[in-house]
Amino acid sequence: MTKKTEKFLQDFTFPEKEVRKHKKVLKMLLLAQYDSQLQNKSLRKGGEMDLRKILKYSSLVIAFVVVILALTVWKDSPINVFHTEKAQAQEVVNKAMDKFFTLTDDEKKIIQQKIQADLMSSLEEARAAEDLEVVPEEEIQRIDPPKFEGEGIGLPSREKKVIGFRKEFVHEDMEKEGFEKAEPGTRAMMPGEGKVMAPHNTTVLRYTNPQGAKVILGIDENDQPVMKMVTLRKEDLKEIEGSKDNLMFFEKKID
Amino acid sequence: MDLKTEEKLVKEAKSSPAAFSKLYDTYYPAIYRYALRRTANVQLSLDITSEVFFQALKHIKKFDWRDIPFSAWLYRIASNKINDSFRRKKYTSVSLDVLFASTDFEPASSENIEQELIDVEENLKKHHEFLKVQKHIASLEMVYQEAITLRYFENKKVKEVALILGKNEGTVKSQLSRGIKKLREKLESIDSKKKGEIPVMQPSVSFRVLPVEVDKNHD
Repeated sequence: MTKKTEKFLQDFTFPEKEVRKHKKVLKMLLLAQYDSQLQNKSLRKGGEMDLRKILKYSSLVIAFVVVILALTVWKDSPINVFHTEKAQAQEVVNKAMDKFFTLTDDEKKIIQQKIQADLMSSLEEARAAEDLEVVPEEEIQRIDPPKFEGEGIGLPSREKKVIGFRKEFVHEDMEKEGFEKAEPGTRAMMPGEGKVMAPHNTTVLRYTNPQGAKVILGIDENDQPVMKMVTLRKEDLKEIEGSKDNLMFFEKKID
Repeated sequence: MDLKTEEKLVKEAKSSPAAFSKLYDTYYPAIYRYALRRTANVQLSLDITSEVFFQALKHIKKFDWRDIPFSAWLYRIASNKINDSFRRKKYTSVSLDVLFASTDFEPASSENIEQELIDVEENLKKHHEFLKVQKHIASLEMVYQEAITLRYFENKKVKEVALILGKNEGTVKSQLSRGIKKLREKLESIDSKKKGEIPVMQPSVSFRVLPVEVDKNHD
């Protein structure tokens, strides 16, 4: 199917017409600015090297470099702290991505079942996030692994996902399509308040995804993701619950 | 243009307007075409093309051919400009009117440009299939948009795409694979009957969850 899509894209016909006048006029403008663009930063003045200009710029550059060096070396400097924190988080993700390429298909499947998300997309999303950070230990509640698969309190089994349907689209054949009516009061998400729960020996990362939701991603000491939680914002949850009169929640088994 | 010729021309262009002019003539169509295939917007594509060549002119003295070929550098600038315009949803255009004001230069007639612009936009509207697919590609994440457009619309090899985007080939291949998969899903979902479905996110939990106090005062 992928080959079909690739062929479809490769055989495309595109609009090819140019605005020729734009091409011509832009060229003239570029050439008109050629001299000024290239000579603006020159240190030459009437053919002679302008020593005052050189000295002025050199001393500014030296002063700037000294300040930056001092800030990066100074342990508590803001540059150092942010660089270290984000760099640390990025490094964790990068190691997990490198590990990904060494995994077999079965191993990838197991991890994806655990985190209920596409593995590479999750890592790429984390890496691209501007606010990616390592969650400090004081914000984490360490827990032991479950005794039974899918064990949970107050949540649907992880083998099922919750989907809301607008009432006008609920029909008689929902069961045939694999949907079961969810228990009253079923919640798909809980607001992300309080400590983050994570097993021991897991580095917990946190970031905001492109949809604006907070994501918690746990990566173990073997550089493998072991948990992923996407938290709806409180206002999103309110919105869903506020419209619940028009929504019916169903559970569907995850394949 | 082969790479050796390009390298020689780029060296000359650092001090010769004629050489820069040749580079411009060679790569203008490719950059404009790439911008158009990413944005499906003629005016925006022209603005981006203008901006790319002004950036190229501004930085050509510092450009070092060893790190990346000139053509790949132009594509990279274009990619960044396009991504910026999508991200901010507003774009500070470098229109020809602004450039005229800064150079005391005026073309013989600006009306001809307007008419040609209208003609090109009309031509674009006729490519329904392209516009439909472009819309879906533009809804993908930026990394997939770039990879797919460069690979399949610009017919760049994976190695060239990697060079343009500053990534390794493995990452590009993985992005292409994912991007195509997502695009395929979007193209297929047009026929989907599940119009009422509102997916609700669920925590992927694989451990025992300790009770968490939930604020019940939503109303």
